[in-house]
Amino acid sequence: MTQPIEQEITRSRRRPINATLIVGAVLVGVIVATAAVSLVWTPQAPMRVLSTEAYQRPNAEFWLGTDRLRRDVFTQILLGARTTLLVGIVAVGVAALIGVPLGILAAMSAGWFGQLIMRSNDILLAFPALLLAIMFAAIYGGSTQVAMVAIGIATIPSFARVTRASALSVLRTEYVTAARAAGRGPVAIAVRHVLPNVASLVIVQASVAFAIAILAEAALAYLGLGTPTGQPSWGRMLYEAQSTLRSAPHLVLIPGIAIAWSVLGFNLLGDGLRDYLDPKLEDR
Amino acid sequence: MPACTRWAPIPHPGMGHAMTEPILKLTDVRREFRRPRTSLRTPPPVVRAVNGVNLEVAPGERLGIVGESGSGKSTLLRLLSGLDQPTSGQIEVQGRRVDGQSSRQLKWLRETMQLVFQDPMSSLDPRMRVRDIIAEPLVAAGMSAAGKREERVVTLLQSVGLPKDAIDRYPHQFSGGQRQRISVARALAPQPKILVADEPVSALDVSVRAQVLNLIDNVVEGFDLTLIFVSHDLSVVRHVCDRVAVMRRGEFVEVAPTEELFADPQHAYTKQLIAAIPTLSAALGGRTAAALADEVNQQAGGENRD
Repeated sequence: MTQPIEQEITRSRRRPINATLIVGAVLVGVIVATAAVSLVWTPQAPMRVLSTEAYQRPNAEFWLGTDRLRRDVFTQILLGARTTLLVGIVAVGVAALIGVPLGILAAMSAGWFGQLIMRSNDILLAFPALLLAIMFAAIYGGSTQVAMVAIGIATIPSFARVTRASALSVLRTEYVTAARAAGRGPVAIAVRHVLPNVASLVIVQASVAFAIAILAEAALAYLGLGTPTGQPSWGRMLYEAQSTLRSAPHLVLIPGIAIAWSVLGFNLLGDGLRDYLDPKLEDR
Repeated sequence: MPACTRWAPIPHPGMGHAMTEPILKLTDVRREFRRPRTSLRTPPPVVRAVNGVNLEVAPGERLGIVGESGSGKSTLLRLLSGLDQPTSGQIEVQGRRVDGQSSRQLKWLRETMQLVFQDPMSSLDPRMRVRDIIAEPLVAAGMSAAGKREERVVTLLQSVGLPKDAIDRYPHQFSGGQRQRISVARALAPQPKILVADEPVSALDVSVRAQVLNLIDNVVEGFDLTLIFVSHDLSVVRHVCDRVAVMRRGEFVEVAPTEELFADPQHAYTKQLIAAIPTLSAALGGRTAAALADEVNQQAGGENRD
């Protein structure tokens, strides 16, 4: 543990990068690149109805074929990546921005207030993300924005829970006692000590929540409650193609693969980050 | 209540503090912890972690508090540093009350009394640079000028024997002994009058213990501090303290000047602790800790037990 020679300062050890992390990062990287490309270039004008045949199989002109309304599938996949990432970012952002402070607050307030936060958290946790989103869609109408916020709100409890659990263990450390003995107030301790030390777990949680949000958005769009007609969404594409499952299976397969790809990517990224950022591997 | 308590004259003669006001004064301090109920019919069991401690420490004195784990040493430290509230009793530092005060009211105490903790692995925030760790008490004390802070941090690093370039490093880049030096530097930052050290060397390799002990010795000397040094190891306390309080089951069983305590221990428990120090002569003389344990239990027979 300690170095026999006192004056020697050890160099920072690099942590090993695992295979899961690499695969996850590559899969996610492809999605991000796809979304970025769609900002500057798409094979056809976005969502335009072309003067060509419907239900074309993938070919040289239309790389992934055309759909029922004679739109280019590849263009829709590119644009759909944008929607997917936007939904993930907003949903996870809403969840983390509310859930993390709530979790820290609950950990730091020992009495009834902390209990109140966690019990209301439990109530929210009882509602599946999808059910909450359907309720929101019923009230506010189906749109990408409503879906994003609803998924975000439904994800708050998982962030609050993870944050509270690790904040509790951070608050028990001697460096927090040292900070109190140094005269730091609760806000300074929360911001300067607790937050940086729970950040790695929150990042892991975020990438897993991202995958769940993508799936939820696709499911909502599939049910016709999320992204409306005329806007690109992978879930929407699935919904529109289900009636032609037998005659044009590629219209279901292609967005299906895209969804599976991104969900797998974010899950692997989360797993890989968990190992990579594991505080137990640190320091020693 | 124990009948066997021997109180050294406080402040004791020969120390030169006889006329001065105590810098730290504890009057019948108690701290009880309520355990979870074991039965609905009986009240929850109470643990008396600190059970009626009286103490006066003169400015410049080096007091050691010794006792086995669970004897209430750490609870006592938390009480006198205002991190915990006593169930009853009074704690005064420089004549000002510490007990019953909110953390905001204790700001003055943070600049008067500082702590060095036991485990150098967990007492430094792994995500902070040394510059921020050492400057933390300065920030808390309201020193807002970053340049001035850095100047002070560099001076502090020098006074604990660390190189200047340590300032931008993280705790995990240091060995246990070096981390404890950082810890001491942090404690010195607000220019305290009292340094409280909670087992500062027990987590360290034997090879670096002496270095850290010497460091504490030097800073107490150089900065004219009062030292409260807690340890379970009498030999360590002997090295740095001039008076020792022996603690057992939340009470001081013996308080005496260090040499007197070693030369003529009064309480059987003190004898046992001294015998537990592994020395050649003790081993040759056949006096072992095990042999003395019975004697302690006999003497402690009259004490109340929970």
